[in-house]
Amino acid sequence: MIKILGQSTYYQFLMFLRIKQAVFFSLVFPVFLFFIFGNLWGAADKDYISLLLSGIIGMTVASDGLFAVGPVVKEYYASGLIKYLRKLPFNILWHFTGLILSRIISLLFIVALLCLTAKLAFDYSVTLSQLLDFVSGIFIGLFLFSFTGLVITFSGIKHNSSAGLINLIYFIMLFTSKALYHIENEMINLVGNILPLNSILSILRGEGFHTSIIAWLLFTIALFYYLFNKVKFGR
Amino acid sequence: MKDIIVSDITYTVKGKTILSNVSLSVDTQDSFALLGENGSGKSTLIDIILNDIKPDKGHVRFFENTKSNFDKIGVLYDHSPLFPMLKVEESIRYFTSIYGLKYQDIEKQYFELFEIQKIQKTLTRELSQGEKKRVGILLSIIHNPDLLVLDEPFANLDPTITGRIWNTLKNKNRTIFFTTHDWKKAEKQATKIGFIYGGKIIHQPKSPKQILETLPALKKITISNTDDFAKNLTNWQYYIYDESIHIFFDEKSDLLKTINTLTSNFSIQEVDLKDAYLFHVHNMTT
Amino acid sequence: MTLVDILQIILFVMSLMIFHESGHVISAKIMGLDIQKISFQLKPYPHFFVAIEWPRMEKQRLIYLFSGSFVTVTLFIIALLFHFFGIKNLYHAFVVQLILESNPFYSDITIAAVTKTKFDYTNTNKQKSYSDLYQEKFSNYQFSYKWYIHFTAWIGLILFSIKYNHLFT
Repeated sequence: MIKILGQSTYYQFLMFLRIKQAVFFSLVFPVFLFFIFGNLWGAADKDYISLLLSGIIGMTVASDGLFAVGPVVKEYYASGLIKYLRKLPFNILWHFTGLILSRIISLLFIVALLCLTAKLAFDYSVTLSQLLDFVSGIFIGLFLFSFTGLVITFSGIKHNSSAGLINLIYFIMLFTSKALYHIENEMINLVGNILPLNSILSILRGEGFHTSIIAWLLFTIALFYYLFNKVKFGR
Repeated sequence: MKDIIVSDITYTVKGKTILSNVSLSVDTQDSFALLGENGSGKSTLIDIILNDIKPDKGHVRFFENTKSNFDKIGVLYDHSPLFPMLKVEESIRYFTSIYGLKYQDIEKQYFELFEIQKIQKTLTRELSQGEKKRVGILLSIIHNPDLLVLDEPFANLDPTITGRIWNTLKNKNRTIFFTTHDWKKAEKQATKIGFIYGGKIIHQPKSPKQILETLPALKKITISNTDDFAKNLTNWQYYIYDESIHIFFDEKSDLLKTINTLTSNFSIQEVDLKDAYLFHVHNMTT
Repeated sequence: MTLVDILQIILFVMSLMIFHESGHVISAKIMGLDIQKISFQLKPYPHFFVAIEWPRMEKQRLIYLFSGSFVTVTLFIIALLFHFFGIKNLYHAFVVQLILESNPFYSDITIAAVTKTKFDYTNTNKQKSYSDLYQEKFSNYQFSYKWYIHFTAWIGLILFSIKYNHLFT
């Protein structure tokens, strides 16, 4: 089974690397943003570089979870591929675990790239405790945002509309969060704190674990379970 | 032994009956073709047999066991089981590792037969429908199953390799249950034929020869259905399809004489499975 | 930066866009190309555009496509010689305009790169429209190694304008 998991992870990663657009937005774009924003507002401000680094990691975890897991799983069902996978002599969860693992590997690689950029471009060194916070944030965040993406894609709306809705939710979450800047407006702050990205940013920044994450997780898992049983897939 | 037993399957969607009390069985080593027009319920029955849809009533058994186990069954749906962004050889490698097989063995055994060498480095999304079908069929037999359930195995397949692929599938006297739109191929390859119409099995499954023998004659005269021709045909058995009347014709009868008095525009042909299907549908609906 | 500054930059950028498009118009007139439309569109970002009868000769296409940027760069050099007339926001507007018109996602440079080779209308492409073929070629070009070179140069331009902003103003 370990061999199958390894193969599943490898092939899922390979599929990801072959989608040029996904590689750009998952690997290159975060570094690009970090580089530009860091130079614009934080070249001499280490606190801002620290905030920006964790913010961009949080942003990438959110986009990976929302865009690279839910829609992919839905596509397996919509295309009928899932019917084949179910006939194979293995638990289909291994296949999906491979998908998640490939995303985690990609996210860890992005973290390494961002840390390297921080050192080379801004002479900012990441501590071991920060690295541990990043890894924890990646695991919890990917899990949470994957279920959010699954809920949206399985909500029964058409493929194009669900892609648009994920985009909308992602950008509302991003612009009301503390990912790239401090927010002084109380109303925006309130919206940002209700949405899950700020809680994940707290983990990434070592500010502690908000219990709201558990509420979000329970809510999205329960909703996904309900929608998954309700949605019927055509042949 | 019965490799597939379908008992009394009924399936409805939003009040519309898709399948109604369908029962059939497939004996070991049989090549069973399920034939029917579009929307007759063929693919839904395949989905129910393969446990992808739960029927409202009835059950399916494989190898006379109560538990479904797909280890000895190979499947092919009417779409490809492949990942668009993987190359053909990568998909095959992934499937072989799941089955615990050696890729090299599969390569040696099947690649030439299925003409995989030419496409093994190609991404699935760049394959033609026929190439995808070839890979799909290959993946359905790599674990050497005893039973194959195939939805449209001949669709989009290059006619020059159809015979070769069919022989490979029938290797080791495998039992095959398949649907197809190619009635001529079904007549040639199947040992048993089942007809489905409006979600019902309309005729007891038989061999192609036996089915043709159920018809009133082994030849037919086809004429254009104009001028209320059917009114003059009270003494003969016929069916109307596609704006033509198909009249079963025994050379000893005086049908030809009658037709000659009505029109000079007609043709005489041997009957085939399609005639049998349409004749039974005609009898059922009139 | 105040709201007035932002408004001023927007106004300067709009003016530079008009100058940029006038470069296209002048080159089209000189080369005798038929101008079909001069208009404004919001997507993917608000901008003016000129539509012409598409020239068959590559040389004409390149002259037409780069004439807009030629005007912008010429104006930039003139403004630079005069220290942007002491108007800091004019410098910022030039930076915004240069970044916009050299971007690797939607600019004259990407059009030049995509239309460099002739479109293949044989076999499967017979039924496809020009815009479908353009989109297909563009998606092949985007995120290719040539595109990444363009993207890296573009980041270089952005960083240069951030880092050496003090030298120009």
